[in-house]
Amino acid sequence: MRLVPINETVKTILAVFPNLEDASSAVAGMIAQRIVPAAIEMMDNLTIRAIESRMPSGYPVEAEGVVLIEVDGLREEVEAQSAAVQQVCHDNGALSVRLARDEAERAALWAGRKGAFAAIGRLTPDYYTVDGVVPRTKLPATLARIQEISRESGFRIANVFHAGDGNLHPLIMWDSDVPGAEEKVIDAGAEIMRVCAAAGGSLSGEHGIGMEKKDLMPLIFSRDDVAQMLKIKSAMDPGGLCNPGKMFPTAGRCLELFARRGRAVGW
Amino acid sequence: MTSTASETDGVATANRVAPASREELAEALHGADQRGEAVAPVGGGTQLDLGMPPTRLDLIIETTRLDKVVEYEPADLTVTVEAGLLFAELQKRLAEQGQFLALDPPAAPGATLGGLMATNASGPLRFAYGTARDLVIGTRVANPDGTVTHAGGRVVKNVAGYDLNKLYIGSLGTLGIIVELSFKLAPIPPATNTIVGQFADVNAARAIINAVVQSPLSPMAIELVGPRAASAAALPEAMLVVFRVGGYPQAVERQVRDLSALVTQHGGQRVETSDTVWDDLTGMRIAAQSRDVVVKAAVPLVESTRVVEILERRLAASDPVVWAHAGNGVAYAACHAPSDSTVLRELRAEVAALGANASLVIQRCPTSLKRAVDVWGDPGSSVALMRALKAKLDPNNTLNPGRYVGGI
Repeated sequence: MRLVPINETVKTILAVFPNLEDASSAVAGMIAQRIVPAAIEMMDNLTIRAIESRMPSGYPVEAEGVVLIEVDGLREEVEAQSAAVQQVCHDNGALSVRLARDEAERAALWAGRKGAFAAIGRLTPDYYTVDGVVPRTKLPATLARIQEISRESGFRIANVFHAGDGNLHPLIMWDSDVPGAEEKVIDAGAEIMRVCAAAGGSLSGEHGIGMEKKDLMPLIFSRDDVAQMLKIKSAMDPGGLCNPGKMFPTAGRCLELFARRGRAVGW
Repeated sequence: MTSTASETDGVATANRVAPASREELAEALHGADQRGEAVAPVGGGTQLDLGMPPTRLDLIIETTRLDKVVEYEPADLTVTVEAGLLFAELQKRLAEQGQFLALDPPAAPGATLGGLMATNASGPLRFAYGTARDLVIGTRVANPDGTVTHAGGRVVKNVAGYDLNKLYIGSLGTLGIIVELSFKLAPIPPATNTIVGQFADVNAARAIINAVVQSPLSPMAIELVGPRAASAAALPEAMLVVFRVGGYPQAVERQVRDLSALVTQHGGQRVETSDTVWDDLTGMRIAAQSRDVVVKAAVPLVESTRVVEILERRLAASDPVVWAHAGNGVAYAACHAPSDSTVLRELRAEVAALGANASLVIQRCPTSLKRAVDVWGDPGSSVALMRALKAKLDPNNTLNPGRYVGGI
């Protein structure tokens, strides 16, 4: 692995927005101003409330969108970037913008984000973490669709995501004791995957495919694309010994899924 | 003899097609595959010297008519282009939006993106931004069986399916013909500057490079420039260490100040230069690509100065122009053709002794020398796996036969 020295300075900014559209515009504004922060983490209202009820982190509970932005690098670079980031947030309708003054405050701002999944876990018997990616500019439309999926399916869905790279983590809140809920929650997750795929995105940003998503691969890969990957697999693992059945669609299941819900690419 | 767009190492064919779409291109490739013909994919034809002479050649397939920008959304910091688009043209289009593809290979004006990816070309900016494998997020290829397949996508974070992008990059057109590419982009830094330090002592140059790579300073590039290369770029004929910095103006000023102080502290002398010195160095590297022989050495980072010294000494009789991406341990020499291959063999052995994975690739040389020395060197134990992959993806050995590592 190639290593790099630790950054000289890190600054963390918390910006509160009246809605996720404005928050997304602020992110686009940063990129337009040639700023690519080290991290841009967004949380929606449901997540904010969950966090504040479990471990108050200074996130306003009425906010529809909180964005945590981190810039790092040389002192002078970080000063200039953090000033520009704060300005962009104000220009895009932020209700408040706060720069962590010291390491303790920085840690506190991050504690909320880092505890988000656990906080959601306190609000629901079970939650299903979805991992999908869309181009940055498609985030607002995708989040709006996820809200529709929440309404249609009857599951509450909290959103915590890496806005800087378009990687979404909708948390679908459900109860495994309710008969039939498991199939429904999996369907809601698959529907979110369809939305990501239709927006030009991907089925996974960091967690991989696995049993859960292998039959959704046709949403973004054609039969030929998958055949190409299988050729690589057979060259490197001719006996099929390495993690069999973990990445590629199983023909029957797959066709059934798409017959029911439509639209695979080239299958 | 070297290569032109219609011949490679003296192997020529009059049959060439320039398909207007990726489907047409796939059809041409499939037809050749079925007829048992050998195909050479060609973009701008600027890097045909890379590799061994082809064992067969029946058809040249040009990608140059596939030259469109497919999708560019600046706020996404990504772009999708057809493979025949000129590298220079893409950079021009991106610059209009204050963005760039953070890759600066010594590319001749005709170089296409597909060609640069197939040869995994890179330049000084690899220190800060990495190489093609860090920048390509999606690849579409035409295969010998007539299919057109894609890997990756248009998003910057993606772990769905195998990451075949990394396989196609640097595969020299032996696995498929790249027809479309998606890249992640970077903003052009608001300000840039170049600091040049002159060093009489190679150990002093080594010390400053080691100090800078371990400091919080974040140059975009750290270059070592040998005396003849320096002279070719209109700089003093001496061993130079060159830093390229970029960012907000106040941060650029700070880096110029700190790096200049480090140059002095390490016994070097700051060279006053013109604003164009960075472009002059780029020009020097591009011009060097047309010398008779171009070699590329890869060594551990800490051996950057030593490998430059070795290249200068071993090739001294052939007027070598030598430079290194010192923060990455990658060094190049461009020179006249040596009288026989012994010089190159001995050079390779001395470079290989610098580290477990140290290697020397002869990127360009007269065909006669290629008959005497394998330009790739020892491919190591992974060659069996490479052959297995080749057999799966190009079972009839249609694509660029014989040119790649281990005779692939």
